Amino acid sequence: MIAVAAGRVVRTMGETIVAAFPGACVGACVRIRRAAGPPLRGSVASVERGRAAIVPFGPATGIAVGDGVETDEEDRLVLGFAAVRRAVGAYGEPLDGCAPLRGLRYPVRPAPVSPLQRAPVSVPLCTGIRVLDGLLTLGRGARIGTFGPPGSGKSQLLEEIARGVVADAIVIGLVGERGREAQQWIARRDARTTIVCATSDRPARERVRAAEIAVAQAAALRSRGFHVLLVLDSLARYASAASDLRRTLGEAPGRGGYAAGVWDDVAGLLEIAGETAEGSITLVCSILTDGDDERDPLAVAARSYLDGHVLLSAELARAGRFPAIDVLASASRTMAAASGPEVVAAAAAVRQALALLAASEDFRAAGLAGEDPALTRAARCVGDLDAFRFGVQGTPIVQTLERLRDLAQRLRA
Amino acid sequence: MSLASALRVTDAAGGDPARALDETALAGPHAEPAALRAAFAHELLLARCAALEAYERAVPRLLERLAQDVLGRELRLAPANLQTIANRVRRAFAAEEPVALVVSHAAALSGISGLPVRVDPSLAAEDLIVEVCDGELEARFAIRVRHAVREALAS
Repeated sequence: MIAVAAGRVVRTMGETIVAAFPGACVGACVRIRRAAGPPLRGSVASVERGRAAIVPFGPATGIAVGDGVETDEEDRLVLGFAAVRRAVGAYGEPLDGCAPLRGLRYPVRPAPVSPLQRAPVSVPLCTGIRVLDGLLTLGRGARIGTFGPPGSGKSQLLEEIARGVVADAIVIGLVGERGREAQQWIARRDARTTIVCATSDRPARERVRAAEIAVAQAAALRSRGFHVLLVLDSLARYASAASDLRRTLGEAPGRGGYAAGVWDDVAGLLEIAGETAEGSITLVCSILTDGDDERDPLAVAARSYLDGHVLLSAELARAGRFPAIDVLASASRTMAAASGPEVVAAAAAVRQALALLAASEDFRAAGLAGEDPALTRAARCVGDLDAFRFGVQGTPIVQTLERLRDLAQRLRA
Repeated sequence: MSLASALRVTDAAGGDPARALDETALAGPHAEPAALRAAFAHELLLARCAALEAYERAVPRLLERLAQDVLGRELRLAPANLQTIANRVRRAFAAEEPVALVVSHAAALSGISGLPVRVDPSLAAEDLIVEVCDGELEARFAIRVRHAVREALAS
């Protein structure tokens, strides 16, 4: 651009700043020169003739009518190598008590990956969780959602996956998380982890940005050849924050009370995952449901965007059986591509046995199970099936597959 | 220590070299060096990333400085035609209605017509600002040089 536009703050409206600003276009980055305090950066969220609504990248404290606004460079942040082993906030500020990040600045909104740049999912992702590795194998580069009501162990499952996964780097995006849990994540981070956090008390724009920064960090590391696990806790809280933000800009509520544009935000966020020639991003996100998934528009939309869904059962969680994964209600669309036919067949045998046991539970309790040989074999293996599904995790995938093969053989015998 | 042994140590850590390093560190000074070798591979990936980033940070910065020096000198030797620049700014922001032009000194007024021209002594020579209804379009010399350098580097 041969010239940069410069305008003035006219008023503020909640978390949004309105400026008289020539030539504004949606998505453009601006810098606001505060009379009190350092310049504040932000992006144009909506425009009308001569006016621009700006969402600031930080608290708008000190902004006054008449403060100068000018076009700024693309929104970039120090990420990549500098952010590995670190915990940062939504604006890249350190949360781990260490020095501010110094290094290469990466775009906060990385370019989307085109279908032609994507490599097919063909390698299994070893999570260390037996049910996932054996019965719901996740492919490297897949997008998986863990759905469940409060207290079903979603965050705990994500934590176990992050602890046991075989990946070069792990990026944890904590969106609207409780401060206590955020502190635990930060305290337990290891040499391959980056944590991006905006706790529940932060404004909606910060919670949305934390998710964007987590995605940007994952994309930055993938571009350097890393196989990255991106954990987003939670997608529901991201969608809620994005909806709040859009509604403050005047967008009307749509399906389920969410602002209509939220579905594009969610799809855009999830679409960044995948395997390319350089590396991969496998996305695992949690989605809070109130028990009736069919009526929750976010759960319905997320299922259509994701490559698999892992449903957590409140019943299993109440019984203290973790990970409380409802195997029969869960599915991985990448399992066939990521596992060999032998594993798929063994998993199918185990799932059939679990289905038989679930369907005949009442009859068996009443002693009316009959003499179906498949059911008899399944009933004989109940203990082993439970031992496979629940209890201490962190099992190497080779052992998991051996146990699965053994179980399937006994169920077929 | 054989490679097989190194792999066994890493396998025991769930196939994760970073965890193998942690476990080796816990084992103390007598830890198997092979585990450290496996962890070294992970560190190598990080080091490669750091080296690439350092290169990407340094090279454009150096090129930009060189280009700015050269281009800045050239532009200063050949005085800018402010009327042409004003027209280009108006074309780039066609939706905005210009109100006035602001230049650094009275001599720069020559050749500019069609709009009221104001003198702002705080501006540097060759600076130009187009005032519009809702603000200003700043086409200062430094901004124009930076823009030209960016375009040249991008191409």
